[in-house]
Amino acid sequence: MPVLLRDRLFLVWVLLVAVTLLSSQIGGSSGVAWIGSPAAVTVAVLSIALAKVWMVMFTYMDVRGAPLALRVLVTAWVAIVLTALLAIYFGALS
Amino acid sequence: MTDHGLYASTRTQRFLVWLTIVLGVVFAISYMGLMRFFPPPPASLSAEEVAPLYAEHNIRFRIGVIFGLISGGFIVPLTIVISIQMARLEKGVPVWAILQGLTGVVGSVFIWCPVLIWGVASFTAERAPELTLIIHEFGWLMFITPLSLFPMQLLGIIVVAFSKDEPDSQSAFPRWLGYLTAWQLVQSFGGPIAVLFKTGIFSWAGLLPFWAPFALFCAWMVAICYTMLHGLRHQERLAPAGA
Amino acid sequence: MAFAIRSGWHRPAPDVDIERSILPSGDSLSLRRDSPGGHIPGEAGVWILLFGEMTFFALLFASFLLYRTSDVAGFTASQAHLSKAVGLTNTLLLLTSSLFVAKAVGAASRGDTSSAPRLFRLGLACAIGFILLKGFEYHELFDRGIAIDSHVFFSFYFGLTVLHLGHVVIGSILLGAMSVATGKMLAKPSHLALIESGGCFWHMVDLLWIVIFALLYLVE
Repeated sequence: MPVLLRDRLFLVWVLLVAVTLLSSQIGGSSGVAWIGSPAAVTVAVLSIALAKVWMVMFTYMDVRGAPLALRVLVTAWVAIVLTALLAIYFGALS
Repeated sequence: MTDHGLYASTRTQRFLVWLTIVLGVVFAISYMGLMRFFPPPPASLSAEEVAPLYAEHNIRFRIGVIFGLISGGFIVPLTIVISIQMARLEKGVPVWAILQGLTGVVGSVFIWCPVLIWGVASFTAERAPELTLIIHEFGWLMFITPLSLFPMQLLGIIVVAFSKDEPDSQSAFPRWLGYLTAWQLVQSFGGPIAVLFKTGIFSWAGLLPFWAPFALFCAWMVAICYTMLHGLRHQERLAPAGA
Repeated sequence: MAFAIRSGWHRPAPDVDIERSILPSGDSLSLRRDSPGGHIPGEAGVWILLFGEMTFFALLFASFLLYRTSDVAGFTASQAHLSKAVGLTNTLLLLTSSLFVAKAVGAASRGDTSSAPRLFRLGLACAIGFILLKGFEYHELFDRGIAIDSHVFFSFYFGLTVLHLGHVVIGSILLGAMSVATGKMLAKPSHLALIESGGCFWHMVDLLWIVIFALLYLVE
């Protein structure tokens, strides 16, 4: 077990699983009752999803050790997609 | 390199690449400008809505068909050049080059034949609308959904790009072309899904089966024409004319 | 050409012909992780594919939310037919397989020819679990009379998940191929670049599902 605790990829996996379970609790109709408003649920759920995407790319894909340009590109992509999805959800295009 | 006698001259290959580019432009003009099927008509149109597509501006449409039929095989000359270039790099019997060449040639039928089918639709445009609808849908599904051959054609290009023994800087198949082609292969699987949908982004006029593959196919064509010409230029430098 | 894989193959010998990158400067794409600029995962070219696919899917996600704004009640009612537990299990399966694959790529880069294939096969097992569970989920929905034309939500549900499932299948084939390829010493640095790229493709399949799960099962 101490070996596992020093294993970065494994720790990332634990974090990702924990966050997945959390977002699954927050999300869906059951989550609305718990959190309050559907909008809050959506913001939380999508933010968590895109944060996980960023995490997977930086750790599993090893973007962490990549040149600055790629790290910036990945982070920008995640930020733009999250912003765009939330904007559309809140009716920016309709 | 000792294989100069074995393959067509680089000048001939260069001519074939340019033939593809010219025919491709003619095809694009007839398809977009004369047949006006760009953007595609929605897949949900009724018979009464489809008939006017062919009845109005009927002569312009049929002239578009003529030029489409002349230029519809635009991909064939390029396919042959790609195969020759692949065969240069393969060891022994050039299996991938043969697969690429044959699937590319047969696959071109699915660009050329829909034009003929739309031509039939426009030929007697005053017929019962339901009959026009059938032939219209036949043409569109043939244009968008056939998949089987294209991935096989792309597979060989990917294999050669990743297994070749020449440096990227001189090659007709740089590794990035391998990845671009792999993306094209993955994307191509969206086409057949259009059989299931009449509206929305999954229908034949939608993002998934039409716009994304269309944009990517154009980008891929530009890229592979460029890399072929690039590789040929390098081969010409190695072998003076007449060698 | 002989490679001392364990010792220092990130620093190829000068006589080794390194593939050129797509950068116009012709910078070489060696596998040196300790170069000052950092190491591009896989190689530069694979990011054309990764960003291309991810952006394409992002457009699909945006379309989903756009269609959703015009019929929020219908989308919410349709979403109730999905089992969150099944979606959650599938998410966990892919996250776990991503862990195995990340470990496998690490093992392959160390030249560990026994761990790498085993880890790739574990990743593949999770992928097959995902495919089976997806089939079960489709079957359940069909049993309840739900099809692609039941509602726009289900058009997106089936369109997105079938498309993603296609990526899972392609990725599974790659995982199988990589488990075979890493069973023996890799002959060239470019082969490791391919293994890393294949791993990145698999992680992309995972992260696309993360967003699909959030959109289809969780968004309210």
